[in-house]
Amino acid sequence: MATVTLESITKTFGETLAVDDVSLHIEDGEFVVLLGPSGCGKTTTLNMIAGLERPTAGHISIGGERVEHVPPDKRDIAMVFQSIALYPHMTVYQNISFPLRMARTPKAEIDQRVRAAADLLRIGELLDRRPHQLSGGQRQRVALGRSVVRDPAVFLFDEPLSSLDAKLRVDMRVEVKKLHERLGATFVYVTHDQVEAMTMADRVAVMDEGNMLQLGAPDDIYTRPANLMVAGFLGNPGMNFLSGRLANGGSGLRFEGSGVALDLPAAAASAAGSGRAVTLGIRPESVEVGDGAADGATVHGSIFATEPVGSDLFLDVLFGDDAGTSDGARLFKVRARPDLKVRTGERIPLCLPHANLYLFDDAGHRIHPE
Amino acid sequence: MTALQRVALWRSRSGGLTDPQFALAIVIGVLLFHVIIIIVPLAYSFWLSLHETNVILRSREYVGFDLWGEALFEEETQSATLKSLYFAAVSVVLSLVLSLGMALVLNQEFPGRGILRALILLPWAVSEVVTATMWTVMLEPSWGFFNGALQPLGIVGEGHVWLNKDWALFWLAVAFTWHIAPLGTFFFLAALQTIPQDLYNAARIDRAGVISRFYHVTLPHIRYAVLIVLVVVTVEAFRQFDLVFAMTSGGPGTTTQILPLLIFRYNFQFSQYGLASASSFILIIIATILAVAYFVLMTRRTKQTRVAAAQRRAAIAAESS
Amino acid sequence: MKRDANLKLFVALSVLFVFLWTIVPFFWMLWASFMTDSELSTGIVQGIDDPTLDHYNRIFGHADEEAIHGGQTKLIGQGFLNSLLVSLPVAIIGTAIATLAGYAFGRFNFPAKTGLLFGLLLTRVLPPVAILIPYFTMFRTVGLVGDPGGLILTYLTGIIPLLSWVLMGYFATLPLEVERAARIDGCSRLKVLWYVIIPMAAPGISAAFIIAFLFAWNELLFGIILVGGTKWQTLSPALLAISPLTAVGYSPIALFSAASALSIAPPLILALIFQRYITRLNIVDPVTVRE
Repeated sequence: MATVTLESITKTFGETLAVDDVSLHIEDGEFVVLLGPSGCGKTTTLNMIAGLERPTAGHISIGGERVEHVPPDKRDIAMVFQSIALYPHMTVYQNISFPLRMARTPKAEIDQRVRAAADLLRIGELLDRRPHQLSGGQRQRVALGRSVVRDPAVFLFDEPLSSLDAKLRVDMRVEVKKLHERLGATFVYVTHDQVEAMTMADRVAVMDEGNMLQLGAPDDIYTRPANLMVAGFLGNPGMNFLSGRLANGGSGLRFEGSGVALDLPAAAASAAGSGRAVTLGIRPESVEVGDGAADGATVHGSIFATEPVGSDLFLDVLFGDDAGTSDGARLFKVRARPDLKVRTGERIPLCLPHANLYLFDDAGHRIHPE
Repeated sequence: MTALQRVALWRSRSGGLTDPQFALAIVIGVLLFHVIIIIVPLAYSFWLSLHETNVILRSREYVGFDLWGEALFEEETQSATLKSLYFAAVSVVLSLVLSLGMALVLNQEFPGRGILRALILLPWAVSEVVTATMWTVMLEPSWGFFNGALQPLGIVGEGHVWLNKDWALFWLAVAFTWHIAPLGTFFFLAALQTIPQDLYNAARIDRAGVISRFYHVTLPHIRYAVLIVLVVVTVEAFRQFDLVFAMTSGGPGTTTQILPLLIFRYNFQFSQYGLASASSFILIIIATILAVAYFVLMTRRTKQTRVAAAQRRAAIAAESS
Repeated sequence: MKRDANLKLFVALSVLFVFLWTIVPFFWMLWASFMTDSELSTGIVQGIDDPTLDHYNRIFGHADEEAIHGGQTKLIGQGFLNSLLVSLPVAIIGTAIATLAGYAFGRFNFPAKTGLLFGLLLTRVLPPVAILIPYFTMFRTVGLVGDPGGLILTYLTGIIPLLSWVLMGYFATLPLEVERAARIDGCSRLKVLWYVIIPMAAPGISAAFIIAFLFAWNELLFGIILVGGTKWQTLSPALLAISPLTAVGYSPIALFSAASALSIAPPLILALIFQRYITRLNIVDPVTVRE
């Protein structure tokens, strides 16, 4: 059990800046997910915690002890890799027992701990097989077993589920989460899959281009994204953005652009000056079809395409008259009830509730809600 | 400083070699071994090449680069150098054609392919001395296989001497090719297996013929293997001593006396160690220049073709999706 | 359809050519070894009336007549044994050193990597005759002439660059994450090599072992110079001593063929094992290789 602390770590590969001045304190027993698109520096960060890479600058501590110069085999960590990385020439039993054998654990204890780990992960009957005889899910369990058996202070995961098919991924997600609850150890988990991040993490660190954009509880970063990048990265389908300007209108502050004009809530007034370039954001599930509630802005658009997915019906709505008359993004994703009857080309009213509107300034920072 | 900090510091010094430091430590260890065992003799050889040795008088006299001049301009050395170049050139051409041809054949589907793949390696596994035995059995004029098989057909005359003064070096190159080509075949086979079948299918759909498929699909993928085979055969041909020594010992006359044989004779027949060493450096320099030239030429080109191949693949992938 | 048939015929003929080209020299050498000297002198392309094992018996020392050419025949057996005693250490030590070097070159980046690799490979360009006299002089000074130790050392320097290159390519194909997993699981770098890399690279390492063994088994020149005519004489010089071309005194080609045929038994067995591994070798470009 241990805390993990990163203090201003930076990593460059030649000319490339992979991780740029990232600081992060992970509590003992916490489940932290590093989330971001590929090439954002999250795996490099994890590798530095593991000791597989050395930071160019900054400090790393595990359990309060500085470890930048400690090789990976001397850090009390376990790691599960994207490619699963079982030892192909060893049986499952030998794979799981390998870390214990390297630590010169007594034979009887090794046997007892391997069997306990195998039971925990329900792979007890596979112990004599070799990796190439296992399914993808079984291999993943063996990889988990190999890390569990050591009882390390920190578990590191590098996109461990990305090589599995969609259904298995959902099962293993639950499995990893249960494992965390049972072991109570510190988990650092790297993924580009926001659903994994949202469902498993205590806290999520969103990264892009080597920077940490936001750190917070999943719910927090979803409802209060610090900037456009985070807002756009989380949620599926992603948040709708309309670019435009602020203007003073009849009842207060208005947003104009992308073929629409709408009144903004009174609360937004404090953040804005007239004429300022902004991006308006709203999530597809927040938009209501119809004239709707009083506390919101109504806009009209025509249906460009419909995407029924069974549980929901997603609409692609087009604002403005035709192409070229407006600037920026004009297609709007809307989540509607599956039984809604609409035709392509039909003009419909949409209500954008004030409570769910976001405004970002031209640097991408959120300016509303504060 | 706490005990824990001291431990961390100690670890950073012992177990904490960075990856480059670790690799460099190994490589320097291996190279050190090589430096001692190769550079030292080479330096000694260089020193010898600057001295005229007289075995009878047991004297050794510094003569500067005189012996290098002798090695360069003496007719005997020049002739041996030309023979070495001829032997290498014929071997390289024959080996390249033969090993690529065999690889293309073995890349086809036919019954017994696995067995043939195993068999073709056998000539490479036997020594140059045994290769010499076999080709002597083939070429011997009075009872050998070639004359025994070809005379009844009237292709060659009675007792045709294959290893005559005009053709002996050529037949040595053939025997050498028989021995060395299987290695090239396996380099080519390995390269051929990396070519995605989709590319051939795409080329076929584009109505490319056999030759144009070879030129546009096969060749770009095996270019690196071509380089390897060129370098390996050239280097081995210039080094070659065993086969020629065992098969003709330089004869008839001195018609197959390639440079390594002449150097051997300088050393052990005439005890002209200085001249032998100077001639050795000519051999080393030619072989090194050729090997480096191949690499410089081919790597420049392979980089381009790799990019081109990647672009082609991307284009095909884009079309098919 | 007609083109397909033509292509099939062409492939069949090519296969036949490759087969004959490979096997014919072997066949006639074996054929000659079962002929009597007088029969062979009338031509090799004929049936053998009475296949004889005389030549083989003579090599094994069973024939009554003592060797007709200076007693060299009985040195074949000794040469066989000596070659084994030289080739095995060369293969074992050479593969071990090249495994380390190949791992370092194939897996890591370090300053001057390309230069060092080229330096190592360039030593392969060196013709053996070029360093013959220095070796002979050096070894005589330290008493390694006529000693298998000197020969083993010589062969090691000859083969290690090639083996390192071959293994470097093989290591570069192994999955990096497995290696990293082992680091996390408590292995130092050398332990990773021992417990994980070497078992995973077993086919490549076996191939390297066989290449080294064949090289030492087949080599002639240094054999002549360093151990020729001594009790440590290896197989190739021993063979050459009964060659009709170079032997002192009369030596029949049939006997030479029989001895040659016996000498290739170990290489042929190894080559047949080797071909399963050689197709998996990945020969990399030393200029452009980058981890």
